[in-house]
Amino acid sequence: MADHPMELPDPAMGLNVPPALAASINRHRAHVEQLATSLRAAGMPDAQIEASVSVLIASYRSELIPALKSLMKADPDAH
Amino acid sequence: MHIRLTDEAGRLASLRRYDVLDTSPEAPFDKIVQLVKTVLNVPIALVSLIDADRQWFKSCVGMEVRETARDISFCTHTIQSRQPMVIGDAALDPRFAQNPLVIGPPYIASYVGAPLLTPDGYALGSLCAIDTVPRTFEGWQIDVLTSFAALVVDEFELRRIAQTDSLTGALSRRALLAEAERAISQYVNHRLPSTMISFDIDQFKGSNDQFGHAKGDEILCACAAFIHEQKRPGDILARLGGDEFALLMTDCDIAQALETAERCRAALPELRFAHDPALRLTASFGVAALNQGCLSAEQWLVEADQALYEAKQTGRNKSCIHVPVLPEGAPAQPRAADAVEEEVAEDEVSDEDIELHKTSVEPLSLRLWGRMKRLRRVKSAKTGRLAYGGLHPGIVNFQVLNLSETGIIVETSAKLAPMPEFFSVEFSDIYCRAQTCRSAGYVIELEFIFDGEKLD
Repeated sequence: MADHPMELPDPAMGLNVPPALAASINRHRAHVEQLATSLRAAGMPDAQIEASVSVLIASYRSELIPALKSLMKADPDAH
Repeated sequence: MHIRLTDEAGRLASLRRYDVLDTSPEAPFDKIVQLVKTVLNVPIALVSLIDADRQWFKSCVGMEVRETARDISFCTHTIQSRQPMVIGDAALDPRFAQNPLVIGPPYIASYVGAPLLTPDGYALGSLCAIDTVPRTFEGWQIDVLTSFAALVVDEFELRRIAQTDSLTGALSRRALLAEAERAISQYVNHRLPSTMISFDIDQFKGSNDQFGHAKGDEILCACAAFIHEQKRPGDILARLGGDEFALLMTDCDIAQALETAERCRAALPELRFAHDPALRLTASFGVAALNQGCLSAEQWLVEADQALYEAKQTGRNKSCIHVPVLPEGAPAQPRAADAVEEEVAEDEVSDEDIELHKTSVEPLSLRLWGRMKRLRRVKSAKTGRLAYGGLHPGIVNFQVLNLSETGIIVETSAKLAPMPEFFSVEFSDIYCRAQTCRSAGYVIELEFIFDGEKLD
């Protein structure tokens, strides 16, 4: 079992997002880390944890992109 | 986080703000539920939202139903605490031993649920794992479920933020289109009329250029707040971009929507701004009712925009309505009264519960237009809802033509008289100038038009 924290991708892909969305993304990132920690503590293999976390991040990102587009269209200065 | 366990009204309001009830299944929630099922090794996993009198499942594996009554749901107990609720053997728990979900399908024997806590402390529902045999849930399983529950709320939160215009707090265009699609579905399936009002501030660009974007933003926020105060609680205000807004009014025909648009238009100049006390805002409004020829949200907005464009082109600071070109043989527009009548029929309310009203001259609040009405109002005694007669497609044209001259009323009435489906004494609204409306001669003239019917 690895004893280093898992490297999580930035779901916002480095974009400068509006504050309300940034706070939400940070909470999501913290919750994913918390989940990974819980799964690791339960003895789940790292490969399985990474697979689960990847699914969650990918599906969050798939919703995040239209959300970003929507917000940036409404507020063109927020990018 | 401050957890608000006892504020049920606030909890329900929070649930409404997320606007997720009765939405379609979505992959992110289904993936979380599938992971819960796999990791906790259970046959059933759910994202359950607790509405006022039901639990509704946003996502569900292992069960066929999409909702149950709230009073038999396990999750309604889960939201009473900030901690997960664990039931090892439901048959031994006096709260659940005789529960229909325990002694009947899906035969719940054990349960663990983690509350879905929003950032402002409300429990919207729970993420739960269910087994059909008694079992012990380990501490790590409860921790994992709690982590998954937080991710469910993150997904809700992402949708809520994406639906909101960050400047004005109105909904985004994307969210409006989703709501419009729901209204269209209600129109197609239940003949429930809905109307879209598109509006923008007259000469906003000039004001923006003169005072700068910060003051322009202040104007947009004030305008959105003003319309928010004027609309009905269920109406949906959205900012489409720039200074263009839309108001979606469900269960509302074009006459009611036009009245709202005119009321807003007349009162908007009362807004005052510190940076320019002399500034008087005006706006132009386009009103479009759902009709047989318009069955997409984008098309609906286009039709409202066309009416708005007409208002802009013909002088600004006015409301125009979109006159639909209906396919040949299309049935008449549904009226708000239809919905109430159907409701009355479904509820098996007797005729005694339906009140018939007839009114004549009714000056509108803005005192510019009056409305001569000969219509039947239907009131459901059970729900208290009162519906107006509304307008048939032919009457929409009629309404446009008769805004100023009684002579046009006579002419149009003569054309419409052979078409009783478009023109009847019971379901006709006539808009005219209040001054004209109040004149005795005008009333007599209308009585003549209505074939001798005595106006009240």
